Parts: sequence; C-alpha cells; structure tokens
Amino acid sequence: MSAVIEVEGLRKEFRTLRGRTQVAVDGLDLSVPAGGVFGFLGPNGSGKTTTIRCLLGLVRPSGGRATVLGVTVPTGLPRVIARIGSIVETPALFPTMSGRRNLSLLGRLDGHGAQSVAAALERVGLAERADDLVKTYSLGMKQRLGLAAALLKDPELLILDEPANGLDPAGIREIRLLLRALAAEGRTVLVSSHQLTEVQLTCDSVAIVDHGRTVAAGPVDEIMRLGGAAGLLVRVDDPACGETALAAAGFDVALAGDHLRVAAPAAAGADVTRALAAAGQWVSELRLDEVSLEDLFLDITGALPRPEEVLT
Amino acid sequence: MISFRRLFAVEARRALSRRAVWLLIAVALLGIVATGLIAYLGSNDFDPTASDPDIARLTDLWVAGGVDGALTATILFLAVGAIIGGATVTGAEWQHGTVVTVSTWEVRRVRLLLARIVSAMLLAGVIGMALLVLFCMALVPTYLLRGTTVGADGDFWRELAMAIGRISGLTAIAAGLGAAIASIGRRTTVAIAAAFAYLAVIEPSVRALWPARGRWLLGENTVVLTTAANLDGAEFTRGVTAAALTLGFYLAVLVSVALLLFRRRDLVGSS
Repeated sequence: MSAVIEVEGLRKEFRTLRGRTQVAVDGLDLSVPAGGVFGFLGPNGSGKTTTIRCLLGLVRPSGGRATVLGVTVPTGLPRVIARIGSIVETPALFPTMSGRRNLSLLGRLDGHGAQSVAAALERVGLAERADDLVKTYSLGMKQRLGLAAALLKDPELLILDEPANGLDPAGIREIRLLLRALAAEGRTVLVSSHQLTEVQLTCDSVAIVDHGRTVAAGPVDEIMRLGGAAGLLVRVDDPACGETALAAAGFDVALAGDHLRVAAPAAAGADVTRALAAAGQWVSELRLDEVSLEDLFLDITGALPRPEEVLT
Repeated sequence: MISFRRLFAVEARRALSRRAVWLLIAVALLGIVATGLIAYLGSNDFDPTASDPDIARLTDLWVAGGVDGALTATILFLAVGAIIGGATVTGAEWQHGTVVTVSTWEVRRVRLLLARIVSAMLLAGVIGMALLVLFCMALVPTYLLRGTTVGADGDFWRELAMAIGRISGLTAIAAGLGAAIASIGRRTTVAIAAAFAYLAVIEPSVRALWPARGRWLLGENTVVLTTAANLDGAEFTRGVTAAALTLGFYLAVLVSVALLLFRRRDLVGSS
C-alpha cells in the first residue's frame, strides 16, 4: 500500500522571546498509508499539532523531510493543497458571519458554489443552523463547521486535528461514523485525538508520538499486541486457593484484587475452569483481560500520573 | 491552483463581508448627509457678491491650486477611514485566526496577502470615489436653491474630476498602508495606533525641528498630491509627481515588509 504522507526525521524548533530554543518535533517519522483512518496520538505538547502544521505548510520545519500526496512539503504543496481538507485545532472562522457565508467565501477560492456548501453543511449536520452567526455556535458546532470546510474541497486526504473536540457523546459517535464513511469512500483520514477509545473504534492504523518522536506505529491490532498477550480474569470464592490450584496446573497466575489474572489465551478458558473445579473452586466470572489502547498509550508515553499526583 | 484573479475577487468579497467596513461607510454617509443639511440650513443669508469662500457657491467646492475648497475637508476623513478599513481587512484575519484557515486553501502566502492588500486598495479607491461624488451631490440642493453655480465652466469640472481622482488615489494608498501595517503588527489596533502616533507625534516633531525635511512627510505629500499645489509657507517645493512617488515608495516599502514577514512567519494560531 502506498503512503500518502511520509515524514522522515521531521524537526521543528521554536525560538522563545528570551532567545531559548524549544524543540516541538524532534526527528519524527511517520508513514500514513492510502485509504482508511489513521490515528495520530500523543500527550499534550508531544508535537502532534506542530507536525500537522508542518504538513500543511503553516510552519516551516527546522529539519527533516515530509511529502504529502507525493510532493515535498512545503514547496510542492500548492500543487496538491486543493486535494487536502484540514482542521487545525479549533477551526477559525469569522464570528460575525454565518456558517454558510464563511464556507461560501472559502469555497469560492476553489470554485465551489452554493450547492457544494449546502452539501457539506448537510453532511456534518449543520444545515439547520447554517445561516446563524458563527459567534452563536457552540464549540462542537464550530468543529462541525470546520469539518464542513474541510469536506468542501471533496478531498482525497483529510488532516484533522482533534475533530471531536467539544462534541457531546452523540456528536462524537456521529464524527466516528462520518470518518469511517469517508474512509469507505476511498479517502485517507489522518486524525489526531486524545479520545483513545474513539481512536480504537475508528482507526485502522495509529502512530503514537511522545516528546516529538514516534514511539509506536502500525495497524491497531499490531499496536495492541505491544501491550503483551491478552490474559484471563477469573473470579472464585477463595482467590488464594484458586491461585495455588492454577499454579499447580502449570498456569502463570497472579492475584489481582479479588480476581486472578491468568496469562493464557482465551482458548485456555476450559482448562482454567477445569483446574479450578478440581480444586473445589467454582468460577463465578471468567473474562478476557484485554489491554486497551488507552492502557498501552499511557504505558508507552509514561503519561500515567502517579497515585500521589492524582490524590493531590 | 487558484488564479490571482479569483484570489483577488474572493479577497474583495471577504473585505466587503466585514461589518467594520460597512460601519465605516455608514459613518461616512452619515457625515455626508449631515454636511448637506448643515450647508443648506446655514446658507440662508448667502451673499453671491461676497468674495470669501462659501459652501453655497459651487465653484468653491474645489479651488484649484489651493486648500480652501469644501472638498479638501474630506481628505483627512477619507484617509483616516481608509487606514482603519485597510487595517481591519488584514488585522481581523490575524485576530480571528482565519489567516490560518485561508492559508490551508491558498498556501502561496505572498499571493494571498498581495491579493488582500490590492483588493483593499481598489475597494478603498472605488468607495472613496463614490463617497466624494455623493458628497458633491449632497451639496447640490444648496447650490440650486440657496447658493449659486455661476462660474462652473469646463475648466472647473475638469479640475473637480481630477481632484476626485487624486483624493480617491490617496484613499487607496491609505488603505494599502493600513493593511500592510496591520499585517506586520498582526492586529488592526497596531495599525491604528501606529498611524495615530505617526500623525500626532512624529510629523509635528519633524515639522518643528527640521522644517525642510517636511518634504518627506506623509502629510505634506498628501496635501501636495491632492491639491496639486505647493504648500503655503513651506521651506521646500514639491510637485504632484514627486509627492505621488514618495507616497508610492512608502507604500511599496511597507507592503514589501508585510509580504516578507508573512511569507516567513510560522502560523501558529490567532495572535
């Protein structure tokens, strides 16, 4: 599968007012395959938005190289920008104009008329409020309007920075379905997000960045395997006795609260229950102990706060 | 790729979609109506034989080679309005962060800003010309009903037309200056504050300290350009062409700086 975005050793330094250098992106590598939804994950300040800005020619990289749709960024960007729809952070539009007017002014740049504008607004569920002033919109509605602006170009590549930011649960679900629908149409969607459950549900592949570098990348299934083999969580009346029985049967087992965590695949469930039954321990609960993308993300990026930080 | 013509047309539409632009036009229209009314009501006792300039006399609308014409009063208002209008066209894009959004549609930033500044200048020139014509028309009832049109020959109308053209040109230049400064400062208020500081502090200081250097000031060149006359009591002479070139040079320098900065700047959100 060819890549629509290739980034090699991307580096971006900002000079602060005091003359110090702040590294936002530090040799980042990224390869986004054509088609599907690609998740771009990372904690705050990890360099996601700066990378997206570099890809769109909004900031100049200090080093490295990036190509988008086969052209080098930023020099070749004018040739392909009409095929790229984007949202960068909270979409910025004129607050004293209506959503439709804002979109109409943008659309005219590429020759998109009123019909295209209406279709884009309809697609993001904003048709009814299209003629209201943007300053009366909620954050979620502004996000939808930004998404409509991105869709206006009928792009083959969408680069969306936190598109579900500010949306309610129903809106987040709508965006998820919309992103999947866009991917099903053959478009490529690069989406940065903090909502890891959504990413897990929406994305085909992900890249996790931390401190300006890519720390993990690949299809979601492969990334999930980085978290170790899935185990089984078992509940019995006497966990200590159950632990002894399972260990005697050759299982790698540990106590986890009032459960037993068994390092075994789902297929070993029958053997686990049999071993426990033989020891007089009846299973009241048996389920897969899956590593979520969130667990994995926190593990990889070390973003999990220490208990004392949570308490304070 | 987006053609410059389309970019220019869209930028003109964007400028005309700004409420601040229409507010400025509304204020100007209000001023014109008020001037027409005041001129009419204040011309009850107009004496056509008096030699002093009078707003009820058509030939005093524009006095060639002088600054006594009624139309000269509009120059300052138009220039200030054009600076504010031009500044708001570029400054608001920075303030609202829309400069980022538009830059993801047209990534060639020099073309984008140039189209924005040129469209602001052209609009300011056209709007300025329309307002000047309306200003003249607002005084027509006064001339016809209470004043006089005696002496308005072909030369007068030609001079008046040329004056309107020159003042409109100055309005366009002022809009370009405002747009360029606001782009450099990334705020409308920066341009307005800079213009005020220049006109209120720098120009009077230069005039007081080095009178001969007044030839390089915006104010002096503006008066020379619009009135096509040398300044009374000035320690220098200045032609219309030299004044136009001087103003054009300042505009070119500021626009070049604005383009260069906009091309090199990282767009990291609203300012």
